[in-house]
Amino acid sequence: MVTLSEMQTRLRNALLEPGEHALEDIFGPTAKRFEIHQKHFIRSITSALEETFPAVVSLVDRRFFAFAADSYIRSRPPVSPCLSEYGADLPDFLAAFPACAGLPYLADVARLEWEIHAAYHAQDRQADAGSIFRPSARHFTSPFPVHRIWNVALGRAAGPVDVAAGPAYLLIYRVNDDVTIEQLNEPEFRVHRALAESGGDIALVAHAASELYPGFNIDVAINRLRKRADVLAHPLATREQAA
Amino acid sequence: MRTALRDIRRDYPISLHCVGLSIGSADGLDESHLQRIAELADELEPFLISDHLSVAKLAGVYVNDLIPLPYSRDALWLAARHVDRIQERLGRSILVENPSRYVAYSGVEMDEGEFMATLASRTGCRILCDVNNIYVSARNLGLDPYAELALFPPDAVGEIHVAGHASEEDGRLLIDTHDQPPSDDVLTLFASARKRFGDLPALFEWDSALPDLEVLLSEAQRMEERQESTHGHA
Repeated sequence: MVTLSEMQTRLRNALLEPGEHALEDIFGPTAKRFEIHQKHFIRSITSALEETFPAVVSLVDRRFFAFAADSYIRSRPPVSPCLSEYGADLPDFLAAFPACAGLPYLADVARLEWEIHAAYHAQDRQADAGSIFRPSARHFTSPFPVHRIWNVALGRAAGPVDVAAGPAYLLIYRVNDDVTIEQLNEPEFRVHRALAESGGDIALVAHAASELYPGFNIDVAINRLRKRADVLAHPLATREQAA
Repeated sequence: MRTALRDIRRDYPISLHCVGLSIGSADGLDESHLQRIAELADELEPFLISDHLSVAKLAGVYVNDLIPLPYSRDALWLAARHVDRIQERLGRSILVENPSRYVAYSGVEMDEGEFMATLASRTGCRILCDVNNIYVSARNLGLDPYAELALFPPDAVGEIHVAGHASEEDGRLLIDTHDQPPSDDVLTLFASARKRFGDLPALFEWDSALPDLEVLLSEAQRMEERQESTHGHA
């Protein structure tokens, strides 16, 4: 007699590897109808991924995306009941997916879309102590102009795109239900990140910035950030206060 | 998202209908998910909390589906243990819904209604009777939907669901899709359920290929009218 636990392991395997597992001893003559669950499993989760990664879908077209998603879902299936938390490692999967090798920027577009998705779903709760940015604010960089690629893929800007146009330094954040993507320059981006990583240690960041970017005015960058209540979790100290 | 829910809760009572507690998982409940449901329930104070008599987590993998359980004593014992735990954590009773069925397990030991009635009497949970699921399952498995409905104990039923389904294979296969109005047959079964179970909260589920609000409102009106005009099967 098959135990419930054994039965559910077999049903899981039949969902992940359709056509490779006979289920007649479990379902008798109705076993073929288990196909309905097999199709729903892939289609419903593919549909959720399409909503999270619309620019990737646009760049590779829906049929190819469904093909890649099928492979992704079967090799890295959801282990959480919240579908909005599924797909974090799709960018890594695409980076290693041989059929996507001709689109070196695709994985970074997917990473940008995951950050946008994560910003949208981030809790409104207060940030952890020591974290200077709100939970929804995040910084993202890529060697490709992913913000421009993303805009063109979604029809928000006209093409063509020069994929060799240089890196993107982005600040992504949410106010109410709207996610905004803002372009930063490289030193400003590095200052934000260093402040985030050091818990707001302005003196340390100012020292590092002056060495790395001799012409960069750190005070202007910090003053500009200080006014950003939309991305900051706590007021930023002045350089004098920090000293 | 959470803000929108809080705003709605200020003006309306909310029924919290879950799909991921996976009452039938042989590898146990996901306590962290239960914790999140409990936090949401504390915040929204829903007047009803429900989930399905099914499995969403199969051996560690969430399949975003509601796979039915075999109606066996083993499965009943497992489901009862999990419903007990959920109710203990939430500090209140929940409703458990009958799923749509496309496959028939070999060696079942009881009917769906008997399984649900026993689950309710053992755990104190109530039954969410989905008449579309009864109809879809009965048609797919060669059962009489009115006989299936008659097995649901009226005292334990606390809510009714109605939905639309798709028809395939020349009507030999019905799929619970929630993407269209309920069929006339389902509305007649709904009227019969209302007559049997009384004036309970009823939810019309349309959550895929959503139409304009006017269409939803007119369908809700059609449900009410059918209930008043149909005497149907008892």
